[in-house]
Amino acid sequence: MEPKAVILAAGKGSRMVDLTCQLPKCLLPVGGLPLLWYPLRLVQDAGIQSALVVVSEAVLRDHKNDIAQIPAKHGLLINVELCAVPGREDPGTADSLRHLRSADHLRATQPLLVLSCDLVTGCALRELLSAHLLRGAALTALFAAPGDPTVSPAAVTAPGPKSRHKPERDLVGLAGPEQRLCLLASEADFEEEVELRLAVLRRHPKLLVRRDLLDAHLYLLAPGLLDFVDKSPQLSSLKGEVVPQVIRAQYRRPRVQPPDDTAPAPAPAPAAVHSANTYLRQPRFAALTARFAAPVEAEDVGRTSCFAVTTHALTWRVNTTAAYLAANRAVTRLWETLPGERPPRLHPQANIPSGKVQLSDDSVVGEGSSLSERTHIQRSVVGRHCSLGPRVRLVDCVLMDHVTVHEDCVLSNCILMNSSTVEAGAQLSDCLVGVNQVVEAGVKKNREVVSQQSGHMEVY
Amino acid sequence: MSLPHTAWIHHCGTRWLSEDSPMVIHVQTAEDCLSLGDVMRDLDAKALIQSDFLLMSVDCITNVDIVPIMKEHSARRKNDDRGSVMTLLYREATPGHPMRRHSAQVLLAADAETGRMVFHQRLPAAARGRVTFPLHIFQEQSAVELHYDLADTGLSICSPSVPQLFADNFDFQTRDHFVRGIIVNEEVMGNTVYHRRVGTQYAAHIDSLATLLTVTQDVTDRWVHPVVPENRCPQRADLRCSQRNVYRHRTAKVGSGTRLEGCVALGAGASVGSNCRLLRAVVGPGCLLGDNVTLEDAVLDAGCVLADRCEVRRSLLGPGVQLAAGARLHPGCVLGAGVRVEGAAELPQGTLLVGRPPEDEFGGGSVPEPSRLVGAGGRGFTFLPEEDEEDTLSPLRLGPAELPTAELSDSGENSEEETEDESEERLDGAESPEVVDDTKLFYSEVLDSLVRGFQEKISPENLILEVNSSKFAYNVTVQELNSLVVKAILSVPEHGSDERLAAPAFLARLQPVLTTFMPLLTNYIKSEESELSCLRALEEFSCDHSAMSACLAKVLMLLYQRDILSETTILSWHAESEGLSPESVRVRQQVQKLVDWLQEAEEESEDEESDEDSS
Repeated sequence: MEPKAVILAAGKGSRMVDLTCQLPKCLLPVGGLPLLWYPLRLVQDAGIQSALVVVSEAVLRDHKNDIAQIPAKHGLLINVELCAVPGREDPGTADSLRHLRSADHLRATQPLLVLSCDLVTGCALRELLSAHLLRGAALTALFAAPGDPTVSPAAVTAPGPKSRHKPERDLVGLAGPEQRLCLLASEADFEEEVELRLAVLRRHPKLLVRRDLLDAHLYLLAPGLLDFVDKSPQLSSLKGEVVPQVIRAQYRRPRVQPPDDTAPAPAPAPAAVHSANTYLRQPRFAALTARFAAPVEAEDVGRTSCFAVTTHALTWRVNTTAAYLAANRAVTRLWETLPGERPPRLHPQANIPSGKVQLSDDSVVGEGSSLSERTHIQRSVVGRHCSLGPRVRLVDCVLMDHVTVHEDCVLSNCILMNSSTVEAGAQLSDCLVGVNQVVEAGVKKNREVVSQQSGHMEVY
Repeated sequence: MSLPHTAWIHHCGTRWLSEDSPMVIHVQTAEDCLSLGDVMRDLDAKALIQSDFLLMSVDCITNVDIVPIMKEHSARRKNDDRGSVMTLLYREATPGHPMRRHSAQVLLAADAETGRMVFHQRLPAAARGRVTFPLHIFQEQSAVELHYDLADTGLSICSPSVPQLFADNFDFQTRDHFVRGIIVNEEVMGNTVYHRRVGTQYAAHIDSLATLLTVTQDVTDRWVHPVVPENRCPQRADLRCSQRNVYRHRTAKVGSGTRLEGCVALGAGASVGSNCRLLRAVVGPGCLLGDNVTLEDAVLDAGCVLADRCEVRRSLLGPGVQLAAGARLHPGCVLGAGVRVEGAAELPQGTLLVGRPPEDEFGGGSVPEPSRLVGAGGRGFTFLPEEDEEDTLSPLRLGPAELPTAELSDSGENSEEETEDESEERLDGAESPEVVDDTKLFYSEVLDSLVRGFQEKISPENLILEVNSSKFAYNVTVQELNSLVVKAILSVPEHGSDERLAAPAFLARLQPVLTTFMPLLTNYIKSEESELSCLRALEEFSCDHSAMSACLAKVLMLLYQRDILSETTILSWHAESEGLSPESVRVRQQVQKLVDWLQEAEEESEDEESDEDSS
């Protein structure tokens, strides 16, 4: 059965406030396309026809049309349903799912593909979907193996004042050639010791614990698990709470025989945590699939089984400013791997004086932007309707829409947000210029954030 | 190698080598060596080893081609990692494998790329619950492989610096100590240990009766080729291997109607009567079996005589054992050389008998009575395994009777086999007079430190340093240290006064002392072993101190709540029943309530663990 795709975009983007305080995360342009375009394209390429996008109430109020028009504007065929999570400002991912369930947006009988709006990946999902079905898995999660170190967020300096931000790492436990997922925990959850149940080691006596994998926050959940999320209101985060519970249930004896497909799942007592096993449904043709497809072992009957799929494609979680910059820098490489139609690197309606500009192969120029002579652009993204004066040098920069850069400016590793202006001769490096901000002519700035709340930001 | 066996081993070495073998055997005799560590220090003193060498315990059976592994080790030491001092060889064996069902389990973590070990732990055979790994091992490399699928082979390749390292660290007694020490001090000393799997080759190390029987079967099943019975025979043609792995010496006689069902080896001159049934049995040279004898998983050394209708299951019989008609040996019996069982005796599971009365190490004492089991006119003395404090994981600690299939360990077998030597785990329980003095001196020094520390509010870290330096000054083992520290802490409240306090007053004084020294306890009482030493110390102290014994339950509760003692250890300590003095029994009764409560709690948590919880 085709899974229901749910794209979670209700988070505030609290790890990249400089950007998200002015523009919702899902609309931040990456390679000139809104961030949400990438998960939508990913879902579309997997053959799924519609996606449910969950946003916060404020975003729905202010940007409903912007989001709804993404497919039409940027050449996607996927049908987008928009839905807001009421109440709390920054709802947990599991809270969002519970809300969708109670608002009847989700049916309990469908597998669920949950991903975050900040996932930019060149991975093809079809393999993951079929592996999930073949194995009769309860949960399949996508991880990205470390690739080219030059495009990893760790290699990028985030604009603005230096921060001592440490990248968050996960410990991912994998067993066997089929990559059974035995452990998923954030390194920060441990103090000095990592505790592991011997039951896990008895079941998987050889266990690889990797620290170099990036959790793509893309989970495919078997039908029953939505009920599990629905009936466990104390679990608020998908990655931090629900997924570890489902992983843990692999090593727990199921209390009841799994109900056959005619009987409804047993109604659990309220306020009690039941193991995820309680909610598992026997697949309709379990006996048949067990015989022909799923290598289900005796221990797995009535228990969840979790798998990891590791991709080597370019993948970013655009949830920090550094990751945002990194994704922009190499996004054209990702486009090259996309099946079917690819976004244009240089928009046909961009005004590029031929032979007079230096433009590196990995730069992007958007619709209606105009470049002047002797402009030098290297590894940068120029959004829509920007105008660059003569002799402007851009290295490793991101220009959003309607940005004006006057002549003789030298910018390196900067983010210029919508409608910002840099006057002639300014030299900026590692800076962020906020929406509608103007940088005066001739100034030199280094590691600064230019925005209305810049005072506040610098303290931050 | 212990002295009395030197000549014998020389003899065996020359007997087993073929005439044209280029191998030369040097037998090194080391006196007063009680452990592998002592042997290594002795080797270091004699400066005998100049190159990479293979360290092998005597109970290892293997057909591993060691040369490429040696080369791998040398290459690594020369090129990649100069600090690499040891490569440990392991055999793959999933949990529940016969080779590890009753032995201490190996749990190790290694860098997935290089195989460099970053963590090593032994777990008891029936370990449950959780294990903890230090977080930093996962942070220092991008991927760590956890291995719970290995069985120890007793084989390791060592760099020439190993004896030196043993000499530098005189608290290393066993190879486990060594490995742990190297891993923990990797940053400081820059030494590393690696692990390697032997793959499809065979290597096993015998540490219990169960593993002895398993390995015996593997040898007869030819898994260890070329180590198979006929290759051991001086005249190969004399021993014929036929269907179902039945090996018969030319001179062995088998009566009519006898079924050799599989995996049977009959030595030279062995004679089996009629209508016998032999399955997975080794019958040594010159054994005489009567009619209707049943052997299942049995190993008979040379010259055993079994009269009609004997039944032997999962047992080991030493040379010259005699069983009268109708004797039955239940699984797990080990009979030493010269034991004679008269009458239709039935030996219960896990009986250990020796032919000579056990020698009292101190020379004195009375001659023990022969065991009642051997019947009138029989010969055999109950073998009491030594309390081997370093080796808490040995199944023998449980006492053979408590084991489901009655397994025996090292010491039980070593008494039978003449090859008692540097087997790593042995630490002689006998204490020489100097050792006693050392412990006493150490104790009084620790007590002084603690009393002063308590009065002057010295920080626990400094006290730990002080105690550690005392440990280096005196020859005390880690477990002695743990036990003495606990006793010293308990003695602090009454230090300097002769009168004994009443229970409430004692507890009132003890509580602040315990709270102050909690960091010390946390520092020393870490492993299950040390928890047991702590409990024993508490028990011994309570035995002759009525006030302490009255508030023992409260102290245990406190230590339990502070996670110093785990419920499993408390329960297993409480369940000990053999050889207890009346005081010890009384002490255990004092804490019955607490134990009952813990048992309930444990059942709940077990339930929670393997089942669904409702929290």
